[in-house]
Amino acid sequence: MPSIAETRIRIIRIVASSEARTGRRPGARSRSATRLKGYAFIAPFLLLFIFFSAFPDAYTLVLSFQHYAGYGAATAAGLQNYDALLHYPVFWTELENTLEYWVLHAVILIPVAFVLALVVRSKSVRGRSTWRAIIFLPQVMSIVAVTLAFQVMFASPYGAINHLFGLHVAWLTDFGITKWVVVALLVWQGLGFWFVVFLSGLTSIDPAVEEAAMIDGAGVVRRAISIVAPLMKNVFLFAVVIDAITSMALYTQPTVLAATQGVLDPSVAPLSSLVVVNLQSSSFGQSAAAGWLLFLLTIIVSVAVFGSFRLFGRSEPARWRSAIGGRRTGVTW
Amino acid sequence: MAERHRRTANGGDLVTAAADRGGLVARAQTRALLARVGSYALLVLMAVIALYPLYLVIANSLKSNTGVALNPSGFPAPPTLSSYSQLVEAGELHSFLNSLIVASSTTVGAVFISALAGYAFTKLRFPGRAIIFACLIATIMVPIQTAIPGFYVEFAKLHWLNSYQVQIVPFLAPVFGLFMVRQYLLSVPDEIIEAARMDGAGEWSIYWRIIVPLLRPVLAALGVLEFLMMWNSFVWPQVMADTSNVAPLPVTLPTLTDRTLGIVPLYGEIMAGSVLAIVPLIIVFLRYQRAFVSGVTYGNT
Repeated sequence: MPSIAETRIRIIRIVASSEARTGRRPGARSRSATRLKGYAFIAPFLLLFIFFSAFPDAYTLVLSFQHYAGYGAATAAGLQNYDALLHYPVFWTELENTLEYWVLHAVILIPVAFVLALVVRSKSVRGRSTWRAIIFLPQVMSIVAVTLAFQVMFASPYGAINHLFGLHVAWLTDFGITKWVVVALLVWQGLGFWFVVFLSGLTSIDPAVEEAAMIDGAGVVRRAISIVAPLMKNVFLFAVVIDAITSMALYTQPTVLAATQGVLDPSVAPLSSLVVVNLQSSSFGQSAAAGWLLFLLTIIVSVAVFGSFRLFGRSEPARWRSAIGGRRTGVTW
Repeated sequence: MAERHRRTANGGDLVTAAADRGGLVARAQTRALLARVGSYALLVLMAVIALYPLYLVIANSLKSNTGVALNPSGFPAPPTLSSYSQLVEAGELHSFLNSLIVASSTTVGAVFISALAGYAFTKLRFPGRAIIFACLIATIMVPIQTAIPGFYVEFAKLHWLNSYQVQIVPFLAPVFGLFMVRQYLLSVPDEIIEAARMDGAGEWSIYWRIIVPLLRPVLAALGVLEFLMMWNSFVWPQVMADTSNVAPLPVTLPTLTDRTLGIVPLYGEIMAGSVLAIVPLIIVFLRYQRAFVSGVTYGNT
């Protein structure tokens, strides 16, 4: 058994002799070695990703240009699957539903989460970590289980809400109202997430800026709107974009909430259900076309959100930064 | 008015400031009191809204199926475990176990695999690193439904449908995990790794002995996030694995209907099953709050 020191000397000798033979510098050698190590480290991730995500996505695209019923050979379809979907009234209803669910819940969710974060952070509130835990709690509850709880809450005629307040509202069968129940569920569920995101964004704001505004006599609301919100512009951008991306893939909540005997009425169904419904009826080409249309929609919506932020958001923070800067110099003056 | 305040703040007009002080302090105090009362009112309201569905699930799980229909909002009087025993008879414990197997094995694998790759993408140099990483990040915009038709058709041929692996393997390479690990490692100085390399440590032992211990908090957060995601997964198993021997709890729970016609939902049992889906995670959350909350906010802000 050679000792460790001996082994090390032997390795040095081996390395030195091989360098003498190949004439390579030691740096070059170790660099190519780390290169290989780099590929080895990412290989499991990359291979899994290619086989199980990238390849199925690409194959869905191929499938969307074919007629395939699950047996026999697939036949070329050109753009027929897309054409059929776009001429299908249900497509437009469900597209509208997805966009409605997104806009309606985001418009409520993001401001409320921001206000809650401001309140929990403010000096007048004690027991911050308890409030944080309670508001965050819905985030760790199983989505399907709480959707079923909402079903019990809003069932008609004998749901918990009707029972509690003596109402007779057809929450889940009058689809105009059902949409709002879905929105309420989405707000209830997402609040904890964005609340925590805003809370951690707030800690990155320099308290001196707010103090300066307070000395100037700016009230709580004024400070929140004119100083804190513009400084958190990037957090808002992130929140709105990520929320938009996940909203386009919305499926679970409306499906579980409003389906009766496993069938979901198109007037409350999200666009993503076209993928599932077509797949279950074995028209794989149309299912695939719906999948790619959903992807295109996600791209369009996130680019639009990004663009509108750049358009409307540009002047605001710059104006306030210079205002704060000006006031600071004012104090020394 | 604002102009005068500014001047007093600058120490300009001390006489006016002294005269104003009494009124200002009183007004500030009432304002602070109002703010406090308003804040607590809002928080209590939010707490009630956040906790009410949880109360409803637990209370209704302690009623029989008809008990829920007769009295959906009140306390169970008297509490009964009949819904739980019917839940067990319906075989839902098996679905719970399926959920647990799928979520925990995916979590362990995904944390391991994305930590390895996240480290390489941040600290090792190799050609194509930036491009590969950018391509992976861009795929965050691809909805899960886009992969479903292609995956279904291909993997049906390989007899993967209705199995555990169809629920586990496709989720072992989460791009958000890569992103979280990278965000965290960017703040770790390269010198630590260089020093270890000078001492003759191999890449693997650098990773295992130095990087993994450093990464522990972010890996805990990533594990939590991955577990939650898998615990909630619905559309994928609904399409790929809906037979009762492998289907997870979220897929089987909504299908709990009366045994004769299969039309009437059995809300007592459904709520008992929801307790199974919700309560264990809440207990873990209350114990490891930090990992949960940081899991949500890592790399987000």
